[in-house]
Order: sequence, then structure tokens, then C-alpha cells
Amino acid sequence: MIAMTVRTAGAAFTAGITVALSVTAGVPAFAQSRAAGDQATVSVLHAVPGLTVDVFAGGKELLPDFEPGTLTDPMKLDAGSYDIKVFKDGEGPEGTPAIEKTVEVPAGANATLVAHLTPDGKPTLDAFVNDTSKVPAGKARLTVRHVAAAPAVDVRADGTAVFKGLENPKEAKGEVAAGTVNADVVLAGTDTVAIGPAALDLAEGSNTIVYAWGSATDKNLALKTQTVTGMHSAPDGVPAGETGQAAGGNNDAALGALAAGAVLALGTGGYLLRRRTDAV
Amino acid sequence: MSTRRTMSTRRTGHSRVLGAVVALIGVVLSTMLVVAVRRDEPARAADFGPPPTTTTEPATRPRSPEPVTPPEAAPANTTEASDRPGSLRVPEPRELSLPRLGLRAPVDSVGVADDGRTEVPPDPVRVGWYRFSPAPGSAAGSSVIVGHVDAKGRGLGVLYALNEVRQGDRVLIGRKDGSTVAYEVTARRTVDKEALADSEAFRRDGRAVLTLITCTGPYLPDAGGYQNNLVVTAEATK
Repeated sequence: MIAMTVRTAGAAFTAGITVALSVTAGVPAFAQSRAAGDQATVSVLHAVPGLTVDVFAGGKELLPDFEPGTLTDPMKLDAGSYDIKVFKDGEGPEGTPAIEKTVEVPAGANATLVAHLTPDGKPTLDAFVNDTSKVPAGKARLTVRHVAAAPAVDVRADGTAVFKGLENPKEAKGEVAAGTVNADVVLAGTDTVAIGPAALDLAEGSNTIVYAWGSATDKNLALKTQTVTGMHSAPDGVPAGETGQAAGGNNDAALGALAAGAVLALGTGGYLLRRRTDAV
Repeated sequence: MSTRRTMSTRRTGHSRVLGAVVALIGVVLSTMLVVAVRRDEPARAADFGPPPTTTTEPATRPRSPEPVTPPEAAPANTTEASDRPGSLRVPEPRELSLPRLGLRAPVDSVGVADDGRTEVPPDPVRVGWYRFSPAPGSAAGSSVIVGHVDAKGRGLGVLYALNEVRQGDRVLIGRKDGSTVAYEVTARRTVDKEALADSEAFRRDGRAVLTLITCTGPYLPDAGGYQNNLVVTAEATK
């Protein structure tokens, strides 16, 4: 099974297909203010079932003995172009890679490299940029990535389709109220559950990234979750007073008293002055 | 007219005295009224302690179009939801009290309203813990408790008492697990409402503090009511 997968992959990449991915879209605005502006934050997800691999980046071994379903901690990498090669465990770096792709890692980006299956079950590699822009107070960002050997799907939260017709290797994202949702994945336009349900804790101010991975044919479809935190915002304000009572409330009365007194004093003064003038 | 004039001339001395007395009464009356009205206002001492933000002067600074992003706001990346520090489950607050001021209020959990501002318990004898801020007793960040200073048809709120808070006053947070977290007031600041979001009141990292927020004057009915927030900061006592 493993050998077959590798052979298939080898065939697919005999010509050393190199695809440059554009991962510049959605580079977060704050990136420019980061001290290490010439670096990027990169995580790697292994979403090819049944294939333990070694991952090489630019000729150096990045991840040895990388097992399916594993997501690495984020790594700081220098921005630039990386030639990524994925070998079956122990076959690199001189053998034929199971997957090879050149990936652009832009400065300041937070990205996830995903080794996964194409819709028809061939190993491939894609880079996704994780949206680290600010999330409004009280909200959570939900990103769903279809990286499974499966047809288009709908993603439902608490029974309601939130993302429709998502295809491999695309992503869909949105901001929802923070909290726990019961999510499942159904074949697009149907109620046929492909994955789930699973409880997702959508933490406020974070980006919860859900990968639908595996193979429908091999009946090993599954969800993998990655969370990027720290994009919270302060609320727009605290409306903690209504009537003005605590501010003395009767500013009007104070003004009224002042005015009445002033009028009285002025009036009397004026009258006196006139009287005096008259008297002289 | 001529008769009155003659009379006036004749009684000039009298009138002057009378006029002066009336004028004096006017001045005294207005002064008394103003004093009486002022007495209804909170006997506010000056704010004290360090300002709630270390990066900007809240009320006076020019409003910059782009908020300053503190370095700790850079997104962190975690692999699994269960790894997040927030899932350590610090017990939720149940009751706020400031013993010296006789202030005691039940704590509700509040979030964000549709307008993007925090929810505030409608009943001003209750206060709200902004549930997206760290729970009191957390290792880091500002735990925020909000409450009405006054409310329609319900009079003054419990947090009106913050006008009389002093440096060193004890603040106690009773928690749902029966434990109590003790704080000591270190600062009270009047913050322009527009500047509150960018102040340190809502930071999630750094020094662990309790932040009590209500409203304070001036109250301008035609400009949205209260113009400022009163922000009281308290630090955990060992």
C-alpha cells in the first residue's frame, strides 16, 4: 500500500514538476512592524495517510520520520524560496521524492505547508497562508481547508451549512461568535455526513483552522485542527452609564441657579446704577 | 414719572441700601444653590496611580489613525486547542467586594454586544466580568469587570462608589469554586471613552491586574452621555 502510493507519486513527479506557489495574498498588515521582518512562521502538516516521510527543505532535512496526522510547532524560517522534497522515510535525499514543490515563503507570513492527497488520491504539497489579521472582540475566525481525496463538501456548524461547495485544495474562512460549535462535513449539497460531528472550541480572537484530510475511498477521512492565537481586539467601549445621575445629573439646575442669581444681581445692580444716575 | 422721580430722589439713600441688599441676596442665593447642587455630585478626589497605559497619554494624546500594536500582540501559534493557556480553567468570578466602601455586588459573565461594545448588566447593583478577559486570579493580563454607574429607572449603580476609592483599598473577588482572590487598588484614572480600547485595560498579557470600569462625567446628553470611563486598577496581593 505504502509502496504503491510512493510509486504513484514517483510517476506523477518523474519530470520533477516544480510549481511555484503564490503565498503572498493575505500577508497580515502587522507583518511590517515585526522585528524579525525577514522571517516567516511556518508549520508543517502531514496529511497523507499511511506514509511516514522525511521532509527536506533546500537540501537540508527539515523533518525526519514525519508521521501522518502530525502538525509541527511553528518554525521560524528565513523568507525566500524553498525547494521542498518529501521522501518516503529513509529514501532521501538522493532518491526520487514522493512530493516535490518550490514554495515561496514571504517575509512576515504565517503559513502552513500541507502534504496531502489530491482529489484523486495522489500525494501533493500546498502552502496556505494563515490569516493573522485582527479578529473583532467577541469573535473567532474559522478556516476550513479541504485537503482530502474526496469530492466537494459543505461544512456545517450546529447543523447549518457555513461553507458550501468547498473543493480540494481550497480553503474557506469567516468570523463567527466565539464559543463551542458542533461541526461536521457533508458531501456538497447533501446530508451525507463524511466527517464528524466534532466539537470545535472556537476561541475568541484566534484562528481555528480545520483540515479535512484523508481519503474517502480508503474510508479514513478525518479532521485535524490548528489554532493560531493572539489576534484579539479590545471591545469598542464600555457603555456603563445611562442617566447622568452620577455626574450630578442636575447640571441644568446648577446652571439655572447661576443664571437666576446672576440675573437678580445684574438686574439689581443695573437698577441701582440707574437710580444713582437719576439721583445726580 | 416725574412723581416717581421726585420720590426716588428723595429716597435715594434707602433705595441704594435696599438695592445692595437685594443684589447681595441674589449673589448669596446663587452661590448657595450652586454649592447645594455641587454637593450632589461625587466628592471626587483627584485620580491617582500610574495611568492605565504605559505607551500613550489616554485623554490628551492625539488620536492616531493606527493603534499601536504591543509586541506581545503578535500572534502565537499553537498546534492543538488543548495546548492553549486559556484552557487551564481559572474559576469564574462570582462576587466583587470593596470592604472599606461597603461595596458588594454579584458578578455576571458578559460578552460583546452587537455594537462591538461590552455588554453591561442592565441592573446597576450587578457587575459583569468581561469573559474574554482573563478570569481574576489568572497568571497574566487584565481581568475586566464592568458596571453601570447609573441606569434608567434604577438609580445609581454600585460602582458609583469608585468615586471614593483610595490607593491601597482591598478588592476581593469571590469565585465559583468558593475561593477568593485579593487585590489592592493602585490607580484610578479618568479615560476618554474613545481612548479606552487602546489603553491597557484590555491587554491579555503582562502583569496580572484587576480592572474595574464604569462611566464618569462630564455627562453631555447631546453627545452620547458620559464622555469618560473611570478605570480603577488593582494588583493581586500575595
